[in-house]
Amino acid sequence: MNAYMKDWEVDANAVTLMNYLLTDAKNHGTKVLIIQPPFQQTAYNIIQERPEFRDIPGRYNAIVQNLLATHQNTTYCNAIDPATAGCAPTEFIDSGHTQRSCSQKILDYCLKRP
Amino acid sequence: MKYFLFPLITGLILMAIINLTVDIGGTWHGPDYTFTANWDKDHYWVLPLRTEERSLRTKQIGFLPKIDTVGLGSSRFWNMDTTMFPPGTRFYNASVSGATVWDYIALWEKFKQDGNIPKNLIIYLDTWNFNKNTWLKYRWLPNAPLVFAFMHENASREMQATALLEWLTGSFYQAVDLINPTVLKPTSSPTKPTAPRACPPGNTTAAISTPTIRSSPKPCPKSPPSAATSASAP
Repeated sequence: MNAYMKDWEVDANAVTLMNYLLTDAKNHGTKVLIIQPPFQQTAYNIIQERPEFRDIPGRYNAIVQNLLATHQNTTYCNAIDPATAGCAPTEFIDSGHTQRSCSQKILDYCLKRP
Repeated sequence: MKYFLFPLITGLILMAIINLTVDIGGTWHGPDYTFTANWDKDHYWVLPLRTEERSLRTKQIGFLPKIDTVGLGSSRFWNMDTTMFPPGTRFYNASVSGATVWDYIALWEKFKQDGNIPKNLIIYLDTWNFNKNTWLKYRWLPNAPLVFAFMHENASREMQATALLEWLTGSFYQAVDLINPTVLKPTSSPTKPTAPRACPPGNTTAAISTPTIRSSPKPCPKSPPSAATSASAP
């Protein structure tokens, strides 16, 4: 997790590219669902507690909300908290990879949301 | 000084030639497999660890039947398959390991070029996809032509220039890898293949397992992988 999340700084190019992707999907009549996948409970607690990680979920959410504001074809399902989809700590392979049972719960949760 | 530099430079050149010749994962020569058809629901494909999976993905997309839902994501999305969606969903899992937004664009562009545009797109957007300092930056290079095609159609000139710069930077690091001795380091025993986590339940879901050796498609074991027995339609 450290390798991916360390020194988190907004990548303006990635945001612009996402904007292009969502726009092009809309132009082709494709509906988009963005899912923020969960972390295992211990990893999620670390993200919430450590100063170097604490702000990251909020910053990520702000980016996605900004994208949603201009893309009506896109919906968002924030499942970063494993409890949101009902995933138990044992339903993970490691800090960020889910077992199949948890993956199913995430899909069920996100696809059934209004 | 020249007695030091000559063997050093000769050694580096030799190392680069060996890496370029061996090219285990097809980094410089491209993948060496031929892909002429999608595999069946009863098959899985075990690949070597360094396989250049992005080319494989885009090649496979070319053989897909009409799809209505596509999933884009990283390895965290790998175990999503058709059976997990409502019945009748024609789902394809296009995830690649360490995916970035650049990968999502390349794969989306491939579906467009093939005229197989899905009605629904699920993007499993990792928290670090918006992190400028993540080290997962240049894996999309094998699909650079798709990225450039997308950018040409959709992006500003500034972003097209950025894409070119990113490609040049990534290509430079790839060239530096030619003198990286770890490229030749064995990553696992070639005589002990690991079993895939699960057989893909449908020929449109194509999970790429954590691979160790290359083989032709082989039948899934008859028992007990649960996913294989609950296979649904492509």
